[in-house]
Amino acid sequence: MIKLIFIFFFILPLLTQDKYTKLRNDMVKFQIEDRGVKDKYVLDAMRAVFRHELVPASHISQAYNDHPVPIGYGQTISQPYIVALMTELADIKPGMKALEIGTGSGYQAAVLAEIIDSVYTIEIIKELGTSAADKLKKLGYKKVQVKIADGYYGWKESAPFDAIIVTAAAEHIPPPLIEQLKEGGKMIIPVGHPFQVQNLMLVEKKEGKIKTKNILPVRFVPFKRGKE
Amino acid sequence: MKRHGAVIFLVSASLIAYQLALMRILSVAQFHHFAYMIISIALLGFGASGTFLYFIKNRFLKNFEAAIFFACAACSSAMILSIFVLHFIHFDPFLLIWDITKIWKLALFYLMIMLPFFFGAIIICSFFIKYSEQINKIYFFNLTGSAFGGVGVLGLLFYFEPYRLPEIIAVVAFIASVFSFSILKRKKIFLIPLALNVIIIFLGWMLPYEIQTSEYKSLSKAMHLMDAKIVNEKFSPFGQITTVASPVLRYAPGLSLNYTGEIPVQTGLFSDGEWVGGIIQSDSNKAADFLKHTTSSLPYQLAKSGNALVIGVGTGTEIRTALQNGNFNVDGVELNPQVTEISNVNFPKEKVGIIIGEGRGYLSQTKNSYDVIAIPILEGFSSSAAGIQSVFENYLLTVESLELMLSKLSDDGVLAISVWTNYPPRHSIKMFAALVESLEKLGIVNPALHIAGIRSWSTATLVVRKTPLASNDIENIKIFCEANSFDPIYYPTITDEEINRYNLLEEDLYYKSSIKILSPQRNEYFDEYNFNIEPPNDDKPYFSHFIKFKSLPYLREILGNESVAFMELGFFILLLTLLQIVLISFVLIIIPLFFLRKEEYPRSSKFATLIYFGGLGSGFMLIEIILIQKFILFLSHPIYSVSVVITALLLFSGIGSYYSTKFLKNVSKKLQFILILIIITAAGYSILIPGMFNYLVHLPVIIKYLIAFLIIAPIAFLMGMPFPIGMSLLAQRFSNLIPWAWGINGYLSVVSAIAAPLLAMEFGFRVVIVIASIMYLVALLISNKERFTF
Repeated sequence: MIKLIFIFFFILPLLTQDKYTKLRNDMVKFQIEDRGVKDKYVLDAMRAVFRHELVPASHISQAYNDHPVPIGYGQTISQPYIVALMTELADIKPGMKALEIGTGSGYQAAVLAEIIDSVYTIEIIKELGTSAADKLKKLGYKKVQVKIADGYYGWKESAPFDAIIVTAAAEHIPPPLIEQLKEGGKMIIPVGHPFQVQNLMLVEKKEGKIKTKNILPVRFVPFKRGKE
Repeated sequence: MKRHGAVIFLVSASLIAYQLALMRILSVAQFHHFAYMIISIALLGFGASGTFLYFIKNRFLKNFEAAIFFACAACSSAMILSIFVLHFIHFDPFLLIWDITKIWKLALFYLMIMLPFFFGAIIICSFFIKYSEQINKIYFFNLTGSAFGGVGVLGLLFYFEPYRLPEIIAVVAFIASVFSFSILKRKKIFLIPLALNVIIIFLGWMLPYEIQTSEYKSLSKAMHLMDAKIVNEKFSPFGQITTVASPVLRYAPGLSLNYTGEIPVQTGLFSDGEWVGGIIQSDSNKAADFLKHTTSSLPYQLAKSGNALVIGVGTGTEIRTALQNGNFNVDGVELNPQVTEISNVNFPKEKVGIIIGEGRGYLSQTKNSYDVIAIPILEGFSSSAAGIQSVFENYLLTVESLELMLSKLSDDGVLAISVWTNYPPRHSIKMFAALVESLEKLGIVNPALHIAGIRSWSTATLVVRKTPLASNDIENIKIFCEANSFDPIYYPTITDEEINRYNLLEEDLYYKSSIKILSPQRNEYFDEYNFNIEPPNDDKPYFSHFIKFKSLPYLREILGNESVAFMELGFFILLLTLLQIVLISFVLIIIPLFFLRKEEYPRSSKFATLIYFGGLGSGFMLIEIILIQKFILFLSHPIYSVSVVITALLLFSGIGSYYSTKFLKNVSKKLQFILILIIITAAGYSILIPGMFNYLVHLPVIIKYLIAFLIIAPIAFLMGMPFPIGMSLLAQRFSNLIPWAWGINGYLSVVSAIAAPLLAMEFGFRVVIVIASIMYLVALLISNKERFTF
C-alpha cells in the first residue's frame, strides 16, 4: 500500500514532469532555435517556464504545439516562437526593468521573470489578470507585479522601463507608454490578426526620437523534425 | 390544386425567408464568410431531397397527402429545433484550424441547418412527381412563393431582431401544415403531430434561443473591457449596429508616435459584431486634436479651406479630421441611416451636412464640386487583416469610380484615400495603381506630377490632384512628415534619401512599387508582384482580392499555411465551400446512378437528364448571382440588389413557367428557340448593362427599382420556361427520373452560387455571363439530340 502511495505521489508526477520537459526542450529546439532565435537568456527562459501550467486545463495537450492556444475571453496565449522572438527583440538582459501590456495567461511575464527581477504586467480583463497572478505566484514568480488596469497609462510609478512588450495587436501606441520608455529602450508590438503569424514592430527611443522597425514578415522556417 | 398551390407557395416562401434570416443570424453570431459556407452547404438539402425521394418514391406517393403533411410539420418544427440544438454547440470555426477533432461540430451545424431545407424541398419535388402534368403551375407557385419570401424577410428585418425570425417563418411553414392537414381524409390521427408543431413554435417563441456569438468577434472582446456596456443597438436588413461604451476604449489608427497629447475615450461602433471605429463624443477641438497627427490629415496640408466631401461617414472621424484641419464645410455621405443615427454625432449644422445614400450614386448626381474628397480608412483594423472583404464587390474603389471622384474636384481639389499598411504591402500599392490609372483615364499625360503618398507605422494616405502638385505642396508634405515621423511613399521630386527614415522596412516596397507603377514597366510589375495589385474596375470590382494562385507556394513558404489563409479568409472559405459542395454533390448524384437499372433507362437518357438539368441549374444561378452583383452598382447596396433581383427574377420566372405549357406542342423546336433567346439576352445584358447603369444611376430610387424590374423581366420570363418544360417531358417518358433531375438541378445551383463570385474575381463578370450562356448552350445542344428522349 505504501508503495502504491509512493508511486502515486512521487513517481507519477515525475514521469509527467519528464514528459513536459521533453516537450519543452523540443519546442525550443524545433520551433524556436531552428527559426533563428539565438539569445541564450531567452532560450533558457523558454526551456524553464511551465507553459502547460498557464494554459486552460482543456488545452494542456496543445500547450507546447506550434500555435497560439485559446485562453478564453477571446484571447490567446501566443505561439511559443512569437514569445521568444518578442523577448529577443526587446533585448532583455539581467538587471533590466520591463513592462508588459496584456498579461493574458501570464506566460510572457513568466519568461521575462526567468531573465530579470523587475517585471511589471498590466491586464485589462479582470478575470484573466487574477487568474494569471495566482498561477504566476504558484509557479514561484513572486516578484512579478500584476495590475488589473487600463494599459493605456502604463505604470507611471515604476517608469521608466528598459523594455515594454505589448502582447496584443494594437492600432495605436498610447503616448504615455512612449514617455515611459527609457532613452535607448525598446518596445515591441505585434501588428496584425492574432490568428496569423504576426508581424512584429520594434519601437526604439534614441536621442528623444522615435523610430519603428518592421520585422517583416516573421520568417516561418519550415518545421523540421527528426533531426535529434 | 388551390390548396396544394398554397402549400407549395408557403413552403417555398418560408424556405427562402429562413435562408436569408439564418444568413443574418450567423453573420452576427459567427463571421460572414463562415455564415456563407454553412448556408451554402445547408442548401444541399434541396439536392439531398431529390436523392432521398428517388429511393422512397413509391412509398411516398402511396401515402402522398399524409407524407406531405408530415414533411410540412417537420419543416416548420425543424426551423426552431435546429436553432435550439445549435445553441448548445459551442462552435468557433476559427478553432478548427488547430483542433480538427471538433469537425463533428461543423458537421452537426451543417446537418441541423440542412434539415428544414431538406423537408421543404421534399414537398416541392414530390408535387413535381405526383402532378407531373401540372409542373408548370407547381414551378409557378414555387418561384412566386420564393419571391414573396425573399422580400417578406427583408421587410421583417426592419421590425424584428434577426434571432426572432425563425419562429415567425416557422409559422408560415405551419400554415402550410394546416393547408395540407385540411386535405387529409382521416384527420384525427394527424392531430398529434399538428399539435406538436404548434407546441414547438409556441415554446420557440416563449423561450427564444440564440446561436451563441463567437468570443473572437470584436464585440464579444469589447464587452470584456472594464465597465463595458452596450449603449445602443439597432437591427435592419443592413445589419446589426451596436455602440459600446467603456472608460478604456480609445482608437487612433496610425497615430504619430511623436504625439504626446491625450487620446480621448470613445464609444465603439460595431457592425454585425465587428469593429467599425471609435466615436469621439466630446465636441471640443482639444479632444479631436490627435486627428491632426494621423496620415488622414495629409489632404489638409494641400487644401486649407473650402468644401469637403467625406464618402462613408461611419463614426464621423473623417469629418472631424476635416473640421480640425481647416475652415471647411463638409458633406458626409453615409449609406446606412442607422449608423449616423446611432453614432449620435453632433456636428455643427452650419458646417456639416449629412446625406443618406451611396457614395457613387451621390457623386453621379451632384452638381457640387469639392476642394477635398476623402475616403476614410478602409475596413476595421482586425477585419482588414482577416481579409473578410476579399469576396465583396466594392464599386467605390474601381478606376471608373475614382475617375468620377476626380471629375467632381475643383481645379485645385484633392482626392485623398487612406488605407492600412498591411504586410506584405498590398492595399496602398493597389490603391496607388488605381489612382494612377484613373488620372490617365481623365486624360492626364503624366500622373507622376499629380500624386503623392505618405505612411505611418500602420496607415498610409494617398492624395491626387487634377493639376500638378506645386512645389509648396511638396514642401508642406515634407514638413508634415517631418513633424510626425511619417515617411513619404511618393511625391514628385522624391529622392532615395528621403524614404524609409522613420518607419523602417527591410525594403521600402511602397516607394519601389510607386516608381514601377509610374514607369512603362507597370504591367510587368503587376505580373511580377506576389499579390494581385492590378487596379479593380467595374467588371472586377474586388479591391480586397489580392491572392494570386501562382504566388501561393512562395507565400506559404514565408508565412505558413494558416497565415496565407487568414490573409484572404473570405476567398479561401469560398474555395473550401466549393470543394465541399462538389464532393458532396458528386457522391449524391453519382451514387444513385448505380441504382438506376440499365434496362429501364437508356444511358443516353440518364446522361441527357444530367446535362440538361445540371446546365439549367448552373446557368440560372450564375445569371442570378451576376445580376445581383451588377445591380449593386445601380441600386447602391447589396440589400437592395438582392431584394430586387431575387423578387423580379423569381416572379417573372414563375410567370414564364406558368405560360410554358403553351409550348408543349411541337416542343423540341420551341424549347430550342427559348434557350437561344436566353443566350442572346444574356449576351445583350453583358454588353448593354454597364453603359445603361452609368447613364441612369443618378435617377431617383423608385424609378431605378422600376427600371431594374423592367430590365430583369424579359430574361427571367424566358429562364422560367426550360425547367418545367424539361420536367414535363421527363414525366411523359421517365417519370422515375424526376427526383434525380430535381436533385441535379439543386446541386448545380448551389455549386454555381459559390463558383460565380470566385470566377468573377478571377475573370470578371462578363466571363461569368459567357459561362452561364455556355451552360444554356449545353442544355440547348442536348435537347437537340434525337437520343435525348425525355
